[in-house]
Amino acid sequence: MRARCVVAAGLISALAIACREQTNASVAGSIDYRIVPSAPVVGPSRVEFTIHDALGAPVRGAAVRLEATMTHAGMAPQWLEAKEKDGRYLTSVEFTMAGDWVLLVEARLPDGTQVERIIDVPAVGAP
Amino acid sequence: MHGLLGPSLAPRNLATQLVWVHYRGALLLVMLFAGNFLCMACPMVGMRDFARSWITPRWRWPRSLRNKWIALALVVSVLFGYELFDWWGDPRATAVLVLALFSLALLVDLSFEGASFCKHVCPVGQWSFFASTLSPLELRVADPGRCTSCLSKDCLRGRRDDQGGLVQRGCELGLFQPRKRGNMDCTFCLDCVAACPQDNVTLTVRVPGAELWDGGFRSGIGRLARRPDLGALATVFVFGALLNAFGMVSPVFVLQAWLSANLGLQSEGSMLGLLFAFVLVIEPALLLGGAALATRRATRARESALSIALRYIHSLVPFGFGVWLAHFSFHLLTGFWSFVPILQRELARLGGPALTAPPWAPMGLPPAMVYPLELGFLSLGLIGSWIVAWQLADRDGPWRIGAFLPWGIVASVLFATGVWILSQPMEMRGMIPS
Repeated sequence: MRARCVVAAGLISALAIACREQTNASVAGSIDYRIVPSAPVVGPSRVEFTIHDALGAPVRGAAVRLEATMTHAGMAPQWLEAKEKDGRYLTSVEFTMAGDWVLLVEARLPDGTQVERIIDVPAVGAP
Repeated sequence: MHGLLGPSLAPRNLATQLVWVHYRGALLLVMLFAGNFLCMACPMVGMRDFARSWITPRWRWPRSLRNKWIALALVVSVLFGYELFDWWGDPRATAVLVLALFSLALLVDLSFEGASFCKHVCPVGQWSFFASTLSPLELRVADPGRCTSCLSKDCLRGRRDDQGGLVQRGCELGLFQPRKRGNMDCTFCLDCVAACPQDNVTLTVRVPGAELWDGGFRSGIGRLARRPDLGALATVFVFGALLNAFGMVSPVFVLQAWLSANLGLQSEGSMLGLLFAFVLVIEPALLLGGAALATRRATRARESALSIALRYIHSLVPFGFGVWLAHFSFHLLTGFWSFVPILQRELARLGGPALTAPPWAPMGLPPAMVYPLELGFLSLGLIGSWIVAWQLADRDGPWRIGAFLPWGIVASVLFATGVWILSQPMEMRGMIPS
């Protein structure tokens, strides 16, 4: 019985360590965005990003990826890459359902640093 | 654990994924094709049995509480909390809810003998009991004749050795097998099977839903039609199914805006409270009361409208099951593989292989493919309700059609409501993670 308790405690501890969320505070820069239309509805919407480094200077040549998903489980996320054009990074997100969405943006700068941002897109309208 | 400590975004957390997508859908599909096997495998019971090796319950569940009113309150509370706090989008809340149920199960079953939590408290269990009335399998005696000579009643009291020590417990939910009818209150624990010294309890195939028109006395339950608590639970099971689905479509926000503009309600809690009161109390009172009065008039019955309603409410259980099945199977089938990217991400974070080329793209069936299935489940539920109502009306002899029609119409109206809800665009609003 005592051995079982020790094993159980060990398993729970291991799970706790494994499940712990890593929070990566991004101090290497910032990501600004614009969604067109500004009040998106179900269907495609254009998303534009501008990336700034830690000194606030605009960044070119970054690799920008994003995951567009809803705030509840079970829906199919979209993994997209933004293409750079004139210093802006452009992509199109297909909002497949009305409701609350979230865009998880990761930008890898040319010097290797990573900038991340979570963008809430609440209340995407019904068509 | 993942719910408490993992990512706060629901689609990235196994707690929200497995509970609200997989568990709910799997539970109903298992009910439909087999029986209440998820109660059989309930981890709360496993934990309780483990804890009982140290702590022995000292009390018996109070006689005045040997009903379903506490369970009913918990079922409604869970449905309300789900809508108000958007549990489907909150891993922490989901984990806390699961832990709260575990804690409550331990508290009750370490204090009171038997399976008091399962029979009188567990909200998931009560909901499962109603769903299992549509299951094709049932535990029952194989040869009733063999039970007539049994004096020890091991299936109920348990089997003891020569010194009187308990070797195998009997049914902790008080279901005496020779008088057990149906799956209500049966958790498929199989204690009765193990306890019977004559191996006379077996898993039997039966007509799904037939127990809903069985008005006979049931061990551990009594007569369904004389249990207002079970009638109330059936009402919540049926109307709660439509309410839960309605909470996920666009018109609910139009309704909220209307309530806010016309009644001055500002808080979501008050608006939801009003909606719950209407759908779970007022609407059933009108529909069921009206149908009961119509049946009473058509059959020239002397029994009260309430008594008629308590008998016929169970005819709507198949339809309620159909709505729950349509709703939960949608989420299960469209998001079946959505746990894979979560595992990929966690493995990658721990330094392990992603196992497949990320990102994993297919999530499940397209919604357009699932929609006909949903309509099919709804239709099967409607037909099941018509059949049960027709069988119940058999008691009214020459006025059978007059007795059946009001309930057939109620089921049809609810069916139309269900089809309308399923055809609405979904609009899933939930907690924006911080």
